[in-house]
Amino acid sequence: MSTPFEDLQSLSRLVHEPARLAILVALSACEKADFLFLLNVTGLTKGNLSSHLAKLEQGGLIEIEKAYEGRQPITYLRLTLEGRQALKAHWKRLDALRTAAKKLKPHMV
Amino acid sequence: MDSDLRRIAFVTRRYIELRGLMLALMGATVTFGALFACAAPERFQTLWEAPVIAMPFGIISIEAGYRLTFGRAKPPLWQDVLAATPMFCLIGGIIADLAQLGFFWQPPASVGALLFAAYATWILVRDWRWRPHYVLLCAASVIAILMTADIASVSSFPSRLVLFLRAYAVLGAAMTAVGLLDHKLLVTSLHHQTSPPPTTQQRASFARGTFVCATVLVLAVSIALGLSGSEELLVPNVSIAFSAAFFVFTFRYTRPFRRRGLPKNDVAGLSPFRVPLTTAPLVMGFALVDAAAFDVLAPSSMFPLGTTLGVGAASAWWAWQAWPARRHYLLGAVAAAATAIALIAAQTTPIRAFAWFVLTASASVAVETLIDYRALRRSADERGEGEVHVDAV
Repeated sequence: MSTPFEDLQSLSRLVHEPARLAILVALSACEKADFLFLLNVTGLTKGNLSSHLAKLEQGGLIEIEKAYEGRQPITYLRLTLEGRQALKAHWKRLDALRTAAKKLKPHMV
Repeated sequence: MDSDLRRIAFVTRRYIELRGLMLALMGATVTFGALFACAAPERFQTLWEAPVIAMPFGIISIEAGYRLTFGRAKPPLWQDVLAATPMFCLIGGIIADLAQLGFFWQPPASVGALLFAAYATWILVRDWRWRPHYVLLCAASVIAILMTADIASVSSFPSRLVLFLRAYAVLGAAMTAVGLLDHKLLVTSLHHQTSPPPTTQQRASFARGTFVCATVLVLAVSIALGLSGSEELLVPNVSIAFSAAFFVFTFRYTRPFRRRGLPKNDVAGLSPFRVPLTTAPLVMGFALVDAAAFDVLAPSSMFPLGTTLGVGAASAWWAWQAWPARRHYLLGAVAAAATAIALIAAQTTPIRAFAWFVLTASASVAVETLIDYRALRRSADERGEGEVHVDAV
């Protein structure tokens, strides 16, 4: 049986990193959002946000859609089905870890 | 971190609802209209039509402002519809209360107040932690209900009307306050980003907003001037107001294009009546406000014939602009024509005439929007956007 600390090691780093988790949470609460909204809601810089989005896209958790509204280019971001499942699994794992940590006794450390 | 994630999930989920300046504008217009209709001399009482008709175009400009400042977060379609609940409450309440004024039926109190009480309670139950300021709207709705509770005992028409107008003035003031607090919540919940220099489109959008605000402001000043002076002063004041507003608009809107030249895909073609779609709401707004001004200023005007025909012409023009995708907008033209014929043929009281106009116009708009919604839904299904969403936090 693994300890909570060992379980903690198995968390997906792609999802668990704070900035990427914030992006995934924002995208899971809507159908799709544009780059400007994510900038505002997460408080990341443009460069940071771009690099995190590229990593999430590489991991298949989000998809990026380039569109035009009139003459203005807009970048829409959307969570993929895989991304939703990964986020859901992440919350479940964190919940399980919290429960396990509550039951933790000193001799197990 | 946990609270930050909760903030992010909340703001994203409620983004459409938290754009409170639109609710504030609606509330301010309702309060202004109700107080004006209560206090103004009889000859000018119908002047409240103009800002009410201009309001949707102000809302379009504010919506563009939010989009350009904070970006876009598209909720699922059902949440998008729920976000329009205050508008449904207001329009539904006004239509039901108009019917009540005409003694068609007898509910216990103002239907608008009852609807807003239910809406405010729903928001309080759902978002108590974030939006406790909806207590204000709840309290105002209760006051409005109490004000109109003994409506059955009031048998004369003017006394009934004044009771309803006062109730709506209270509701409008609460809507303004709640809308401003929603806006404050949105702004404080989002991180501020340094904006890039405005694009041509942003400047054009700002110009549209300026135009609508200028029209409403100058119109209000003209009305005040007209009320304080003699009746003859009103026509020149309104004319000057429209000319000044149109000048402001033309200058602000065309300046960016004068510098860069009009992009090729925005050229409207050779027809003088075909304008770019981005300008269409503005042209429609201008035409409708003009039609309302005509109704107000026509000496023997007993019903809103100009506005009815304006709505019909705007619908027909909109259908023609985006034919055949929006051919169903012809319904608005047909409804307006039928209403105009009915108004001319049947001698009726002004309040009933206005009630008929509101009923037919809003019914046709509702059907047109429903058809648009179905088309949107169908295209969303085709793109596979209808998947179930899970709560993140």
